[in-house]
Amino acid sequence: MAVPAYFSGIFGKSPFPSLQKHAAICAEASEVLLQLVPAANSAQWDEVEQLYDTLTRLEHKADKQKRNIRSKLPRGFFLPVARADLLDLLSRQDEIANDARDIAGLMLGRRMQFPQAVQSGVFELVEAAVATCVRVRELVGLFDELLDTGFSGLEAKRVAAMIEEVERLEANTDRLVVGIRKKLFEVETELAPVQAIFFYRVLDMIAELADGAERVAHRVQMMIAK
Amino acid sequence: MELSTIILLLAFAFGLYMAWGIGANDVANAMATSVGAKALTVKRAILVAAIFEFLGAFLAGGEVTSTIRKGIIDAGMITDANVLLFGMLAALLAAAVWLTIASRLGWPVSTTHSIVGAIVGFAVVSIGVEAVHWDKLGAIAASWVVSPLLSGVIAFMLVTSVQKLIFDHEDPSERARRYVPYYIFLAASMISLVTFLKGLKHVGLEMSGQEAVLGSLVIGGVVTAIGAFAIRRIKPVGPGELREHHFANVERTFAVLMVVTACAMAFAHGSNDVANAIGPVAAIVSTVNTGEIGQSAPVSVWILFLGAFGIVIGLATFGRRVMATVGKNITELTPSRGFAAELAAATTVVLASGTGLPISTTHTLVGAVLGVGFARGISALNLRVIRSIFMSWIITLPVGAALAVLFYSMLQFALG
Repeated sequence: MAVPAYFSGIFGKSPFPSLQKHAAICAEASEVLLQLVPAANSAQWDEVEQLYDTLTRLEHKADKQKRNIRSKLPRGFFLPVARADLLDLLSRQDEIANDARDIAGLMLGRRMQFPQAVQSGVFELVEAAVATCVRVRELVGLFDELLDTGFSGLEAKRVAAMIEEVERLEANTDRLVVGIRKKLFEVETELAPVQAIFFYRVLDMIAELADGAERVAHRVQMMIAK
Repeated sequence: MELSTIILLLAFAFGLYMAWGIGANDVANAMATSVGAKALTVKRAILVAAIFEFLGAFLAGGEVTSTIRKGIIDAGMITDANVLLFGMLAALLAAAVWLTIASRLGWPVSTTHSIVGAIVGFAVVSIGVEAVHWDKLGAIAASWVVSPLLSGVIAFMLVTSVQKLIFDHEDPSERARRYVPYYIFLAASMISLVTFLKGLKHVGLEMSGQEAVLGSLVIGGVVTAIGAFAIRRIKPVGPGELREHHFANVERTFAVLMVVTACAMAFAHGSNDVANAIGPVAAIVSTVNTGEIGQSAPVSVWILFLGAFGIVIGLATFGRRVMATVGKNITELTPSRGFAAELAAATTVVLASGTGLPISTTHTLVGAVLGVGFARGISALNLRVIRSIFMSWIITLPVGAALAVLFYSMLQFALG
């Protein structure tokens, strides 16, 4: 029984600050798209490449943070929320950074410049998707206060309201995507067919970014429920 | 030199050594939550512990001391007084040595388990199985299981009450200012009540039920008044402010309460653990003085004084470093939850002390912390460490027994 068992050893390191740091990195990654998409739309490929590199860096940072958190959460820890839920939240959150990087990679690799008719619509869509991701970062940031109040009562209601807001933002991106697809449909015969397919694909991926953020919010909802 | 004088001197020496060890190593665990939650600096924690460990040991430690002295071994089975004397000396030395070894290895061993294991071990091996009061021992063993459970339940209820009363509202800092004084009153009056009802008879201050209730209400009132005054000096937070500012203010208010519960915890720990050092000494002293083995006289006051004094010396010399280490490693406990663990543990321990049951304060405190964790009040608890703390009696009991038997044979050889 050579396990050091000093009394203070019963307190484990809280995973919540690291989780919040990870959320911040993922939100930051999504925000890079706000600069990248306009640069692509004006064919400034050097800048797009630089921003893609930034995104890659951020995505690696998120992965490193994710591995760090996982290594510090052994199975023997008793947490105020289910450990499996927390690890799942981490995975889904990490998807945001991955998705943002995939979008950037595709747009750079295929030199994707959206048709004039849909450029402003696409930027609006990107803004909406990033807003969802940023909102989720704020949501995860509330874990401190949830811990103070035992995950109940007023704080829990506040978090529930924020989750509803994330759902609304995500529904908004879905709506925007439908609008852009319609416009794209009108001009698609003027585009090269392969290129057109990939435009649709990138639209889906941007909407998927918001979907991923919504999944994180739903995980938080499940974690809070007792 | 006469044998009885040698024995008395050895008894004082070993008793002081054990008390010193308790002060140096065990008190830090009792004060850990206060220091970790930053309600007390290490310096202030030492001061609080010095005063209240002494008070607890001196005023309320008599009943448990009595149990260790005569409640475990059936004196009627012993014919040769030297057997009891050497046995108690050996048990005491065994517990003290084990405490020193385990502390050096970084294990929070229970001083209570050590001494009880040592006494029972020596009795069974050197006299016979019939020499032990097995019914009393059964009650003691049961209390070792019940005490962490009870403190866990109390802590859970306290944390839940704080969540419902204070945090589930728009203006938690205002509600904290209003309700924390009630918690202060609860803490001070409960500890006083249990002590007055059960604990004071060995210092000759027995009280009737009515006097006890009245006295505890008075003490509760006085402490609450001081606490309310300290709370009022905390600058309030406007209702429109950020949630975080509210919570910081709430924690500052609870820090006042945590000073009270720290005193209670030190008092409780002193009342229960002093017996581990001086129970055997009391047995030896009364046997040597009266020449008879059966002891019916109450525990002598100055023996309690000796134990209390030893604890404070240990605390002052070594305890500071241990307490700083323990407190440094606890980073995520705040006063609004930490107080619950302390109050629950202190109440349980004082109750046990009043009933004369020697329990492990460390186990009780761990149980209380678990109770807070179940109320979702702690961000991460390492169950592996908790399990090894709870399982440590598996080593402590036999090691204490073996060392006691070893030292007993050595004493018999050297002095018998």
